Amino acid sequence: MGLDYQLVLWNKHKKTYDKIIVVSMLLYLILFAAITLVFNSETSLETLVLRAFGSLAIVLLHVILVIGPLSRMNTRFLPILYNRRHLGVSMFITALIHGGFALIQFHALGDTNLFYSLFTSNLDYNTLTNFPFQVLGFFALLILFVMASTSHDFFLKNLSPTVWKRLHMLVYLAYALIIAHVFLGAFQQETSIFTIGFLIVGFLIIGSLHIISSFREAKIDKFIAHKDVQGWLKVCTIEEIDDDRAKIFTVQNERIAVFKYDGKLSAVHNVCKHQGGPLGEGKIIDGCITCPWHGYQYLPHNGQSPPPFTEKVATYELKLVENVVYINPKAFEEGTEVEPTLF
Amino acid sequence: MTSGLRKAHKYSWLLLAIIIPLIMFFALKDVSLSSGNDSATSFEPSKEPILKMVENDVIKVSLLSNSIEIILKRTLKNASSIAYISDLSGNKNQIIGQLSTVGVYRFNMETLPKSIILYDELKGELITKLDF
Repeated sequence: MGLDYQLVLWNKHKKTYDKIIVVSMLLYLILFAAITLVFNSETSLETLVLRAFGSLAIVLLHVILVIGPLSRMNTRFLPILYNRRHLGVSMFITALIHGGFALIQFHALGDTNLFYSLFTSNLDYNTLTNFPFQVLGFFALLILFVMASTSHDFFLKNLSPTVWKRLHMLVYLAYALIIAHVFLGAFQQETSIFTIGFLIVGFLIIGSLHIISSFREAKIDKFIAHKDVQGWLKVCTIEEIDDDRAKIFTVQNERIAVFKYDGKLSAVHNVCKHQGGPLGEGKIIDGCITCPWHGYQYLPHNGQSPPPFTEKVATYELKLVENVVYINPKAFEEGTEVEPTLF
Repeated sequence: MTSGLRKAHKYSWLLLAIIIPLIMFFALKDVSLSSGNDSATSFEPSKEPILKMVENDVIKVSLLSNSIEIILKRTLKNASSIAYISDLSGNKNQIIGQLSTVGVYRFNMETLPKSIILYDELKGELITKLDF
């Protein structure tokens, strides 16, 4: 959490992860160049640069796309999710070098505007073997640019987390465009079972992880609580919730996190105001609900971020009958004080 | 995430699970995994009997039984080199295909064209014209 906007919000952990990202990228580029020079020594420098940065961008995109579902399935991946934004910007810079270099290499040497040349030099849209694949890469790069340039808390706050998240879901369209760009471009010119296999296996892994995790999420949403005579919903017994942790329930299409801490129970809306992280998968740290994604904090009894922060989430009323927890499905206004239920 | 975003994620991936394999399948359908060259270009002229042949310093065009073979003799400076069937006055009638590097290009064609032109669509200029 930060009060002021900074160009890059670094802390000790992010610096460590960024160093790992930079070193890994450099190692990949050096290794790629070395292997190319050994096995294909006639490759020109321009081709080497294009292929090294293009393939690195694809590898990074694969890593980025598996982080989300992996961290939904296993909390050990959450620290990587915390640093995903910097990885995304690094991927964009790599793709920009590839795309920019290709644009200059293939379109800047004529007497027409290089963008005009990009869109008109090949108009063979009715064939797959000679499809204008560079146009697909250009549109993917455009999406990555929009995403990288809005990868900042300033845009997140001003666009609203929902709009921001929807905007950043365009990465899936960019992924499809990049797959088409490579399959209709590079693979038509120079076919290798290894590179084709990498992208096919990569797609199978990414696609399966996303689909499995989305079906697991849908299963949680299908939870139906029993109503008592006053309309309260019976959700669980108190023993089912671990200390300083929460259990998540879906009530009227919204998820609610019921936290157990210091002999008390409190319930808040499960969606963090920062990036929509699942608060109920976080824990109570220093008396505050702490979002597992980026560490945003809220007080459990009123859903307010501790001063001087101003984020607020909706709160819910709970009651305990013997050891069974009931929830009133009607949400209070965000930040409303609710007396915790004691046990 | 809100329930709307969760649904959007789910349906996006269900859609991609259909679209991406289709892209991969159709893109690789005609690709030969044993050859590094694309299917339109080779460096070996056809051994089929040539019905008619014309040439100039840029291209050599041979009409085969059901296809046309264009040999690009030298690298062109034009970024865009499209081959068209044309009439004798040089009007473009039908696209044959695009030529890029030096090599042999083969295109399916059943009737004898009167004339063939190479045209630079970017500069809007005629590169060369061959009459049969």
